[in-house]
Amino acid sequence: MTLYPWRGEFTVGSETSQVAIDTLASRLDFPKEKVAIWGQHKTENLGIEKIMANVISNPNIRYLIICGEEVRGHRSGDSLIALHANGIDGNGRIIGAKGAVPYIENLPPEAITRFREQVEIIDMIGTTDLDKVLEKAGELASRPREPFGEPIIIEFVEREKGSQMKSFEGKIALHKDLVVDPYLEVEELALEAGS
Amino acid sequence: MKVETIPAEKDQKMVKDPAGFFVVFIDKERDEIVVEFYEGVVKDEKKGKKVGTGKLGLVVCGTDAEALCHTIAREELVSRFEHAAYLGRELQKAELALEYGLDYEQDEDIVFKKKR
Repeated sequence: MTLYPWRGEFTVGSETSQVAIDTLASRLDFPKEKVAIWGQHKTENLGIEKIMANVISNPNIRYLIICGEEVRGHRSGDSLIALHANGIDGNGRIIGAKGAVPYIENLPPEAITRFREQVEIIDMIGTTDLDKVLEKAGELASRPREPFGEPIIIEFVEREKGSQMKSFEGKIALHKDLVVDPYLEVEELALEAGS
Repeated sequence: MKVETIPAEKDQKMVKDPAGFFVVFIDKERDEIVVEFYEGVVKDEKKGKKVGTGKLGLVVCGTDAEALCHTIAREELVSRFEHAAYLGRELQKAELALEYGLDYEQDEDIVFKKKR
């Protein structure tokens, strides 16, 4: 099984753990045996897409804790919660998200649906106390759930101009166009908004 | 021979490179620098508002800043001098961070811990 195909700034722990942790702007480290994957998450579009793509590659993950300090301007945690609760509209915009550019353009609706069904979100935004997060992770681990079906894997292919990512494994075609925001511009927008 | 000497000055405003932008990070699982290149895209929001977005075009990875720079130049992913210079600085920082086990965050300074 190809785990976590979309590379990022995350740490991989136990493949069989049911718990993934999004630490937003905070740097937190966890015992590898207790958490499947964790890392920071800074943007309300690309970052969320990476999380979704990597979570659905591991059906063992059934809980996603969102903790740490929220990311100013991007509102990455809020946007992820909104995505899980509401999905996206016809323009790819996360319904109800307060981030500056909350668009999901790369992943097809099937992947978003799968993500929303596969994991339960645990909102601990603002919590940076490692012990509290670990306590919650332990509590979730004591509520075992069956793995969520077969993994869905994004395949990255050798360079072929204009089409760097080919398809999901056998089932779902992946859009070759990935739309995210340039980080600096979002910061400017956030500053203009006075946030 | 007279050669003009001028003081260095920062630009007051960033001009976006029409070719696109980069996301740079260190993949700790593989001990590699990863550079994601995004082509610029404009999205229409409500009330005529437009926001900048991007389309993933290429992922370049490696451990050597010079090799990464050469590959990016060869692929013609930058079109402005200051953008190329910016990328060179970021990739050199990332290489140092990778080599010395330091945290790297794009657009942030590297924190070197003093020896006691």
